[in-house]
This record gives sequence, structure tokens and C-alpha cells, in this order.
Amino acid sequence: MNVFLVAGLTWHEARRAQALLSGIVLTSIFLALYGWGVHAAAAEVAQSPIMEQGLGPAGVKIDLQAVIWGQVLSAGLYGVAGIGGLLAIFLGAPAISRDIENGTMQLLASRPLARWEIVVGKWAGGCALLGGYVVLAGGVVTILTWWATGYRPDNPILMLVALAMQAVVLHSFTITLSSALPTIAAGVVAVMTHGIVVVAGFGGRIGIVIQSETLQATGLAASLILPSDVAWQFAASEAQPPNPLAVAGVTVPMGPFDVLGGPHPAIMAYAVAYVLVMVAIAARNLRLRDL
Amino acid sequence: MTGVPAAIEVRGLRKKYGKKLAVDGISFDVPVGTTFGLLGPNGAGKSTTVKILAGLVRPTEGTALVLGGSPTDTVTRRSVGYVPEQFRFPEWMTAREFVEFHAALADVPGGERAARVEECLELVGLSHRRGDILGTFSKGMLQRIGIAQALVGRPRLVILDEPTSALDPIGRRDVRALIMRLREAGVTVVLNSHLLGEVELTCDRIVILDRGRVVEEGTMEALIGDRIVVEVRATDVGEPLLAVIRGRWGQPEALSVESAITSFRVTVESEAELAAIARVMHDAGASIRALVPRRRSLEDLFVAHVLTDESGRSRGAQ
Repeated sequence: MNVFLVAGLTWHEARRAQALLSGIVLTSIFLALYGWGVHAAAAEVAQSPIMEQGLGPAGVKIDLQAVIWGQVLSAGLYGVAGIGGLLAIFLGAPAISRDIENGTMQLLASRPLARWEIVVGKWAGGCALLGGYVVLAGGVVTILTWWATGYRPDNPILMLVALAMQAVVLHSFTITLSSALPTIAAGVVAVMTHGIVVVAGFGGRIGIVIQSETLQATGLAASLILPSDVAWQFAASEAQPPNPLAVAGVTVPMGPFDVLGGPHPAIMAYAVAYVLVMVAIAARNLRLRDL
Repeated sequence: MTGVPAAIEVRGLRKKYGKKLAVDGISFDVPVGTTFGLLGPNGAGKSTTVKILAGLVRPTEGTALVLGGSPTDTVTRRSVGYVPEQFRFPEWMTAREFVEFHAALADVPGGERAARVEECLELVGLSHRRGDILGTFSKGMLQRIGIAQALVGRPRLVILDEPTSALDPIGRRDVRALIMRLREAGVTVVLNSHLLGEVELTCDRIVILDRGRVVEEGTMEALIGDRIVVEVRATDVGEPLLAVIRGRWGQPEALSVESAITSFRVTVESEAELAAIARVMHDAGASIRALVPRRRSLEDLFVAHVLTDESGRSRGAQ
């Protein structure tokens, strides 16, 4: 009950503070531009001789339509994931620390509710906002791609869940930082860690192509430290058709968003456990903290 | 204590923040139904003590029992209302939404909530602003809404941390009246305030803290009672005379010498002792310029325990 009250407060705060309205307006502009771009690209590509070429290296037959539009869909989802990731940090960094700094937390914590309820409420409110945003915006991107090109991924639900998971992981990590650090420090650490992990994810994929175990290990280590990018990779792998060259044993990315088959599904279970551990650490931090 | 159950029992309470000792082994009781004042200079440990009682800070050593339970226990907190010193409420909420939110947190049953919120807004004089967002409120109005949220759960103990710092004289008078009503209703009130006059008018028991320790504790009547402070101004006051005064009436306070006139204050039990002071001074050859009696105030008591030097740092008096 108390968790829902605190979660509702987070939701209403975003709504009344016009953060939600600003987000909706900017996202609508992004989606409109994406829809227009995909529609125009579909018309152009339909005339292009590129679509007639269907043979790749080693004589592998390639469904170029699926490959191209899978990449375009991934680009749109990458935009949604990028915005969702930044929102996850902006919502998470002040969630606990700012309330302590300005005295709001003291009033809340003096009420008959456990401190873990405050943390879980704030986390749940943030996750509801982020999850709703990512699923809605990602869903519109998927529908626009389908409408303009006729391409749709095999399992769009799983794809959107993985996309939302990326924001949830990042939000949980940032809230944990917020329970221990001042707002600015929590935000800076979260942004830098996120950036490093994204770069390490690229490194891991380059490692697959050039068969470098060191780079692959770097990517894996980064995904264990913060499994947000790996959730994005999972979503991208669901957005694209399987790499057609893989059957011939050739490891070449089919475009800038090709995640080369994506991560092992077990990493998603790890991401779920990671989120739970992060929330538990944040709750413990607040429980032990003098306000 | 006189057999009245204690709303608050503090025993050997210590709190260290790193190497800094904020509260140094304090003990005191607050009987049920008492309006209790917590006094002390800046850095005396008042805010830390209040936060321990509100369950926001954990003591390093010792115990604090609130209504018989731990202040961090949610069952205990259901019966406690708290107005923090530093407050910033969600500016986007209306006054009604804010108090309603705290009513829900305080476990006020849904069916009673609307009436209870209205009652509290009425009590703090903000019912006409119930639909306005808090972002449009003055600091004094925010302090009133802070008091409203503290009372919405019908607490048995109310902790007010500097509740009138942003209020004008009328607002302060209203809060005093509110505290009186709470006392009549049997609610225990803990008042942390720098405003000694306010504490003197409302509290019936006080504790004075200085550098983390209790330097005075008792009922207002016992500490101030009918005692008289005598302002003395005289010439030819030598050390032998001051030694006699010290021996009979205690250390003269606010002792100063200017243009050959010595000024000081002593506290006596009754006005009948004025003649004794005059006689002692006359016998010692002093020439009295003024001998002015007045009722002892809380400020006199406070200053006697806590002197403030020119740099603003507090130091304990003897």
C-alpha cells in the first residue's frame, strides 16, 4: 500500500512537473521524423537495384529486405533506448539524494512506513514511467516500420520487454548510486559508467568479428558490471533477422546495428537478478543512513 | 517523575558523526500530556536529539523510547506527528492533496480522510487555500501546512522542530494557541525553538542542552517560578563585596564596569531580599545607583547556563 503511494507520488511529480508533457512532445517529433524517414527510404529502396542482389559471400542467399529494414528498425529502437537511458539516469539520480538534500525525505521517513517501502516505491514509480515510455515509443517505431516497409520482427513483445529492461537496469543502478551519493555525483557516475559500458559493448562485438578473446572478455565484463547495454543488444537481436552469413561460418556484421546474434539469453536472467540486488542495496543504504 | 507515564524516555543518549560528538550522554523524561521545550545554542545537539526522537537518526549509544517503543518502529511512528526544521514540500501539490497524501501515509482510514484533511486545514487557517498548489504559498503558509500534515493522523506525540521560524507575530500566536489546544487534548508536544519567549509561554517542562549535554532540566515552575532577578548598578564595588554577594546569592551575572559604575544581576527567591542586598552593599561602602527587581525570565535562565562570546561561539557558563 505504502509502496503504491510513494510510486504514485513519483508518477504525479513527473506529470505535474511537466517532465512528462515535454517528453511526449519531443518523442512525438522524433517518431514523426522517423516515420517520415522510413517511408521515404522505403520508396527509394524499392527503385534501387540493390534489392535485386541476393547473394552474399560463400554463395549465401540473403533476404536483403529483411536485413535492411531490420537495421532501420534497430536504428529507431536505438534512438528510443538512448532517450530511455538518459531518462532513467535523470529520474534515478535525484530520486533519493535530492529528497534528502531538500528535507522531503525526512518528512516521508518520519511516517509509519519502512524505508525500503520508500525506495521500492520510488523505483517502481520510475520503472512504470520508463517502461511505459519505452514500450509505447518502441511500439510506435515498430508499427511505423511495419507500415512503411512491411517488415516486422518475429517477437516484438520480447523485443520491447528487453528494450524496457535496458532502462530499468540503468534506473536501478542510478537509484542505488542516489542512495549513497549526492545527486550530481550519482548522475555523473551513472552517465560515465553507462558510456563506458556502451563502448565496451561495441568492443565486445568487434572482438567477435576479429576473434579477439580479450575484447570479447571486456564486453562480457562490462555487461556484468552494468547489464543495460546487453539488454539493448538482446532487443536489437530480436529486432533483426538472424545474420544470414552465420550459417556459412562467416562473422561479418550486416549493418551498424547488427549485434551478431545477440547475447546469451541467460544474461537477461542475470539482468533481472541485478535489478533486484540493486534495489536491495539502495534500500539497505537508506535504512542505515542518518537523515 | 511523579508516576505519570513517560511519552519519551531518553537514557545515556550519544551520537557521533564521524569524530564529532553531537550528543554526549543525555538523559531526560517527557511525561505524557506535557508541552516540552528543548533549548540550547546552535550546535548544542537539539536537532540531532529531535531527529533521533523522530526516528531519522540512529543513536551511537543509549536508548530513546517514544510512546514506549523505538522511534524507528513503524507502529510507534503511527502515533507521532513531526514538523521538520528544514522543509520543502512538493510545489506541484495542492494543499488538500498534500495533507491527504500524509493522511494516507499515516493510515487514516479512507472514509475519514477527507473530513480529517478539512479539519486540519481549518485548524491552521488554510482551508480557503485548499485548492492552491504549494508553489504559490509563502514560507509562513508552508510552515502551517507542515503543521497540518503533522496533525492529520491525530498523533499522541507531536514533535515541532522550529515550527514558527517563518511565521509573523499573528502566525506565532495562532501556533501557540494550537499548542495549547493540543495540550488540552492530552497530546504530548516537543517544541524545539530558538524563541525563548515562545517556549516560556507554551511549555511546562524544559531541557537546556549545551555542547551535547543537559545543563538544566525541570518544570518551568521549578526553574523560573517566582524568583526575582535584581539588576544592580553601583559605584565603589570592590572584590570583597562581590565575594560576599557571590557567597549569598551566587555568581553575579552580566558583570561589567563602565565609567566607574559596576553593573550586575543576581537572582533571589523573593523581593524581601532586596533590602538585604542594599544593606550588604551599604555596609561595604558601595553607593547604589539602581536596584531594579523583575520576574526571572527563561532568557535569564538560558543566559546563566549558556553564554555567547563575541565571535558567536557558545560556551557553557559556570
